[in-house]
Amino acid sequence: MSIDCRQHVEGLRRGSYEDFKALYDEFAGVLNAFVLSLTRSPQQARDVVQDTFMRVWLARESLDPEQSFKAWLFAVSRNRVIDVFRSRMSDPLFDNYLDSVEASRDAGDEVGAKIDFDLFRRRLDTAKLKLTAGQKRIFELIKEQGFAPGEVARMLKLSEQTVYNQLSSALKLLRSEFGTLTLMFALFFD
Amino acid sequence: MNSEITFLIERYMSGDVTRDQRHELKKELAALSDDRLGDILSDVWESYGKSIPVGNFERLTGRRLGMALRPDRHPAIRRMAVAVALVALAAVGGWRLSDRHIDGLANRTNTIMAPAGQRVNVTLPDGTGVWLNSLSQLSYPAIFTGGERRVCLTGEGFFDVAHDSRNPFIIETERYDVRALGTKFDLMSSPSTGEFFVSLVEGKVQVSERANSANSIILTSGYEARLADGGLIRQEIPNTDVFRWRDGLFCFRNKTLGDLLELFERNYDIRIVYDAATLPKNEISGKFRTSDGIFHILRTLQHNVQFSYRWDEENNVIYIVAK
Repeated sequence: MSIDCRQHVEGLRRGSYEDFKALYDEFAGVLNAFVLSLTRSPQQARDVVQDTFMRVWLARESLDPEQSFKAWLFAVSRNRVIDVFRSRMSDPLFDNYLDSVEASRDAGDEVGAKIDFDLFRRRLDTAKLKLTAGQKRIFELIKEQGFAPGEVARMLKLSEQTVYNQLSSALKLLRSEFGTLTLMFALFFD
Repeated sequence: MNSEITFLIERYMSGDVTRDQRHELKKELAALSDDRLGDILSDVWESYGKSIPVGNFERLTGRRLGMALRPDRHPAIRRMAVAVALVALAAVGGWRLSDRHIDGLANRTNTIMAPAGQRVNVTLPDGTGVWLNSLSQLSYPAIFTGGERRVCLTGEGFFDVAHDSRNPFIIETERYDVRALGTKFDLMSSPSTGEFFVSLVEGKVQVSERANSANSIILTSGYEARLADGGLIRQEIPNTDVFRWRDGLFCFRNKTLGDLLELFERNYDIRIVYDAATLPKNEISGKFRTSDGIFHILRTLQHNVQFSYRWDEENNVIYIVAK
């Protein structure tokens, strides 16, 4: 930790907003990149950074100038980071998203490989406007909430074949909605 | 085991992980307590940006992403836009034809209105060209019988007035009369929003309040008059983009999302519902083709402004929610 940083930490303890700002400028970017690479969601990364620095400001008096500010920053954000990482990793749609990014990269589709999760979701939401209510429900249950087609058939009291048919017509519509972009490619793979 | 997970997490974070490794990571995570996961992430954080190569991922995201990704324009929609334009042209052409047949009815007033999302180009009997913007209406006599040439405008029109110094061309709007000799100018008078402005490209016009004609100003080319705080303000035209709606372009500079939504509602046959107080106030500039369609425009705007939208297809309403 640089001397500067130490001075800022001491300033922050005394309630200096300028020192808080200096620390924010120094570390917000790293924290943002860290959460972004865990969640792939710029929105979520921003939220965690804002929330964390708010807590930093509120807890400024308990800050130990001998301790590394970087370590302290993580301690403050720790629970949030665990939460967002876990919820992302257990989200079936996120799996589809990662598959899609991977497939785009393998296909040499630069744009598809760069897309973030927020954008992926927005594009999907837009495309879903084209589905019928039945197609949408089945697509969401299987692709977003991770139910097996068999379970969905039982839940909706439909034959399994009907569920498969609805799903494949939904996927076909979404594919045409996405046009030339190979983005979402993987969503339609299995 | 921890070092294995640490390895997987680091690979995952740098966007450099196989599908199998990802599934492995998911399985391991499910079995891990929050305490342990927190410690692992804390270690990763300590060396983050030092030993861990800053991965593909965050190098690739950020500002450039919004620029690189423009939702594709749908060929089907483009074809439709062309069809709509052809229909509009046919409608105008058809009207002219029938007008010739009823030439004898000298005192007849014609009214022409540009439907939502379309623009109409009319040539008046004296040769004056008028481009009517979306949802704007123009009334004018079938024949100008000498003396003043009077027409009535609601909404926005671009006028290229045929020169005739003996017969001044006067446009009546709700609040002001605009008197021109031979000029080119853009005129907007919207009773619904109260907006009024005249932007002069060439020549000279006189703008006078209908209720009090002594209250008038003269505009020369390159200047505009705009209604603000109950009176007209004269200023230089900041940029000529304002005229480009005639070419089917929305051009805007330093507008907030709220400003643009108003514009879209006027230009597309759709209702947009939003709470102005909660909308982000950041200012945006740019241009779109009107034929791109409202959804393309909204999706593109989402790169710069945080909001989401929902389309109620049945009632033709778009709901905008700030994030």
